[in-house]
Formats: sequence, structure tokens, C-alpha cells
Amino acid sequence: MKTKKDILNLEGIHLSFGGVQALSGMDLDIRRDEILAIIGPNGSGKTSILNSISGFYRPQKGNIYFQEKRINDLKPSKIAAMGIARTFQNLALYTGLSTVDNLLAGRHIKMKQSFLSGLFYFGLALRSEVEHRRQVEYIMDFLELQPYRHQYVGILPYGVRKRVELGRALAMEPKVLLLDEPMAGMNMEEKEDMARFVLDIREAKWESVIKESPAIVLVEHEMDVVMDISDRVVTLDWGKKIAEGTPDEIKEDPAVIKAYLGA
Amino acid sequence: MKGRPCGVFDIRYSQDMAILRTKTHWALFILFLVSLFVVPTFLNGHILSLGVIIGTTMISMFGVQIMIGYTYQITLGHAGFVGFGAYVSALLMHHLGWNFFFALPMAGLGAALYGLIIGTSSLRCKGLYMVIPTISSHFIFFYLANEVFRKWTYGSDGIECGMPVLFGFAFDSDLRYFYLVAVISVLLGIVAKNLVRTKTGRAFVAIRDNDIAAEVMGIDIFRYKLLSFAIGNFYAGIGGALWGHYVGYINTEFFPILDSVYYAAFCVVGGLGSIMGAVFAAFFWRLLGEGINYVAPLLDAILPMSAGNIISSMGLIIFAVLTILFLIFEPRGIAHRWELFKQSYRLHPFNY
Repeated sequence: MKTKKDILNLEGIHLSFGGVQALSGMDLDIRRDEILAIIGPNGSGKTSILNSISGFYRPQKGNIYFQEKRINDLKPSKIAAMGIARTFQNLALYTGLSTVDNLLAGRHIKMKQSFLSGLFYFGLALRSEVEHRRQVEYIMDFLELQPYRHQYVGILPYGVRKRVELGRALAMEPKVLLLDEPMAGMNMEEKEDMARFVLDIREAKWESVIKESPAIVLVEHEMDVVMDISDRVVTLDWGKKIAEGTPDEIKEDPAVIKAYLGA
Repeated sequence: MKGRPCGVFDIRYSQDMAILRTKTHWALFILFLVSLFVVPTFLNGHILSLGVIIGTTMISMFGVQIMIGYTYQITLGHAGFVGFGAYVSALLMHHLGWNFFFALPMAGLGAALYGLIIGTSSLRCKGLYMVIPTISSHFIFFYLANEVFRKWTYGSDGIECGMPVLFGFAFDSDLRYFYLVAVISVLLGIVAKNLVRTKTGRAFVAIRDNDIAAEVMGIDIFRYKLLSFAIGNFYAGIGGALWGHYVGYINTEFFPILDSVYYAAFCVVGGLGSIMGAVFAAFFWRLLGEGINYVAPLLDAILPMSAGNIISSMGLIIFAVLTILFLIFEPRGIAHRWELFKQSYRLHPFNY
């Protein structure tokens, strides 16, 4: 059901690869002010949803609306420019750039400078570089990344890289933030940090960087985290939505228990 | 980690981003510029001509660096693009009587346009596979110069390149031409450095390191790949035109396919992903070639049974062996060593 509160609507998405139905008839509404978690067993289509939203996969049927505008046929870079940012399950950072440059590269769509003005590093280009640097420093401050400012991302530890990736997505000033397993492979402390960051993104005052907090879509296997921080949970199995509701409802849902325990 | 001179603290972001950070840096930079103009007056023609060739190679090498080092579009047709630029300016001056200083940018733009056409293949290929279209581009260049536009280029007879004249001042001596090349290569070097540390350069590196993430992060990959091609070949064209007008006569044999391989190989030796790497690459290539030109005849004289084979093969062997050794022992090139040296110099005497 499309309502004014929704920022992103998926209607009847069919996505198949040859004979494999990755998503069949998927409906999903994402509200402006929520943390929506998508859970499900391996291969249930969680990442396929994210890939479809960011334009990386092309669903054969169905519509994706972002702020009531159809985005199915747009290029991934155009979709990103509209305000949909994401992180990846397997890190996809620019390893040859430093942390600060990774975040600045995330601000690519926000930078108005033309390539000609970049040739001469004063005046317009310098002012814009400094301005964007200030924004990036704010994000690095928020994510506690300052110690790694000038280090190449390729040599950073895994947990920090995950944070850099979150920072790069935040640098785009997104309206929707798609997080693909942000806690995968992390230890307890790093997980707690990451959960805190995700909550803070919703609640923090972002006056200087982000005017409005983004809606967050969280794909995660870490059940205790999901149940604790999300407002709404959607459960998938075999490319279909089998349950939707608050964390407490999902915990009790027989279909979910069946999907997970195979009983 | 960016090392910085001891006791220097940044108060503003612009200071942190500056290349010339301290008074010492500025002093060294000014000293470099002054010596660039004073020292040549004491040098003989042979060394000056070597300097000119290093300068023109350096300009072309900036292009290779932007294409391979920053965007990872491996080009094995760079000598073709260099030749394309040389031909464009030679033709414009020879047939239309243009002034060199109008023909030179046109050489760059012409090569850039040619690069754009070749670069459209980057929509489907990336990385190593770009070798195929770029090698083809080299042969297309031969075909264009020797067959299609034979009427104007005189085919394999070659074409004369006019002399640069600016307001009645002719760049006719080695010294004058050296100054011309020095100014242009320093300017283009600064421009290249600025390019790679602003929005465009970050987009290039983003595409190099992870093109899928780059696209999802809002970078129009195809556009930036084409831009990288255009800029890289602009540099090639400028370098080629400057070289052609120095030599005074060009035909397609001056731009062999082997040179394209050298451009790519020495770019690796100099250090990928660093503008300084292009500078080192140009020096390394041309100085090594000069050394071989000097040593090989001596060796031939000492070893009578070689019958001139050393002269023809020594360069090839040494270039190949050095490239392999660099790939094994310092794949990040001379530029990386230079960074390490600067680091330890700044920390000296506390090398921890």
C-alpha cells in the first residue's frame, strides 16, 4: 500500500536468473522514518532486493518507486544521485585511496566543480574541495575515523573498513541508506559500535551534513542486533515475503520459525 | 600515511591538502624553477636534446599514467596516439600554415578526439582487455597516416614539421626549444597533479579500484572512462607534437608499436598511480636508452665476434630485464621508493 509516509515502494518485483526465481512478486514499502530489517535464510533474496533497488539488477517485472518516481530503468549512477546510498556485503572500497579520499569520492555526486576547474587548484576548485572536506571531516568525526584519515584503506583492519564504507555511503547525504550485512564478520565490540552508529544515524543531529536522517534498510543475519534496533522486520524465504511486522511479532511468527528451523 | 615534516601543524584544511606545505618546500620549488632556466645555459647541445626528449616523453607519460595508473585502462597504443598528435600539428602547419602555438593544442585535441573514438570500446572491455582495442588503434593510425590521408601526409615519405615561432621569436636552437618544452611540461605536470587530486581524479581511481561500487556511488563510469581516454591522449598528442617539431621531420616509423609497449612498461617501472611516477618513468627510460647507446658500441668493439648484434639487441634485453626485476622487487615503482625516502628523510634522525 503506497502512502505519503513511504519513500520507496517495490511493487510485484519478479527477478529471475535463468530458471532461478530470485524474487517473485515482492512487495515492499519503506517508510521515511524507520529502520527496516530484511532477514531470511541464505539465498532467500535479501541482497537481490538491494541490488534491484540500486539498479544493479533489472527485475523482469514490477515497479520500483522512489518518492513516487519510477526508477526501474535508470542507470545505477542516476539512482545514486537521487539519494539512494548503499554498502556492500563484501567490502567494495576504493583500496588505493585514503580514508578521506574514499569519503570525498562518495561526495562525487554532491560536487559541482567541473573537470576544467579542477585543473587549476585555486579559487573555485579549492573552495569546493575545502567545503566538502569539512563535511567529510564531520562524518569521520561521527564514525570515529580520524586516526585513519590519511591511511590507505587497503591496509586498514576489516572492522574499520566497514566503518569507512558506511562513511562513504553517508557522505552521499542519502535519503535511503541500504546496508548489506554491516555486522558480518565482526567481533562483539565492533558489532555494538556498528549498531550504535546505525541508531545514531537515525537520531543524531545532522544539521551540518544531512538535513533529514535517511531511512535505513538493513539486511542482516545477526538476529539479536536486528531485533534490538529495527522498527520493522520483513522476512523472506525463497524470494517471497513470508512475514512482516515489529520485531516482537516476527519472533512469534510460525512461518518465520519454520523457515529458520526448517521444522 | 602521509608523512609530514616534524613540527608542522595544519590549522586549515587547505594547508592539509597543499602540496607545498612548508617554507622549505617553497624554497626548493623556486630553486628548481630557477635552476631549470639557469643550468641549461651551461649545457651542450647533446644534453639539451636529451632534455627535450625527456620532457616530451614525460608529457606523453602523464597521459599513460592517467590512463593506466589512475583508471586502469591498459593502453598499448600510446605511441600511435603520440604519432597522431605529431601528425595533426605537422599537417596543420604544413598545409594550412598555422602557427605552432595554435597547432599544438589542436594536436592535443585531435588526439583526444581519436582517443574518444577508440575509448568507446571501454564500454565493453576493462583492464587488461583494453590492450586489444588500443593495439588496434595503433594500426589504425598507421593506416590513416600511410594510406587514407596519403595525399596530405605523403605516406611513408614522411612530412616536414615546421618550426615554432612566437611573435617573430623562433625556437630554433636546442636551448630555446628546451625552454619551450620545460615550460609546457612543468605546466602540464601541475595540471595533471591537480586533476588527479580533485573530483575527476578520485572518480578515476574509484573506477580503477572498484568499478561496480563506483557506479552505485553515483559515478558515471562510461563517461569517466571516456574522459580518461581523452585526457590521456590529449597528453600524448601534445607530447608527440612537441617531439615532432623538435625533430623536424616525421613518418610513421618514428612511432613503432614497441614504443607503445615501452610507454606501458616504463609507467610500471616509474610507479603506477602517481604523477611523480610518470616523471621518473620518462627519466629512467630516456637516460637508460642514452646509456645503452653509449655502452653498446664500446662492447661491440671489445667483442669482435658480436658483429654489431649487441647494438641492436642490448637495449631490448636490458629494458626487458629491468622491467621484470622491477615487477618482482618493487612493483610499486620508483615513485614508491621516493615516497619511502621522503618519509625517512623527514623522520631523520628518529627512524622508527
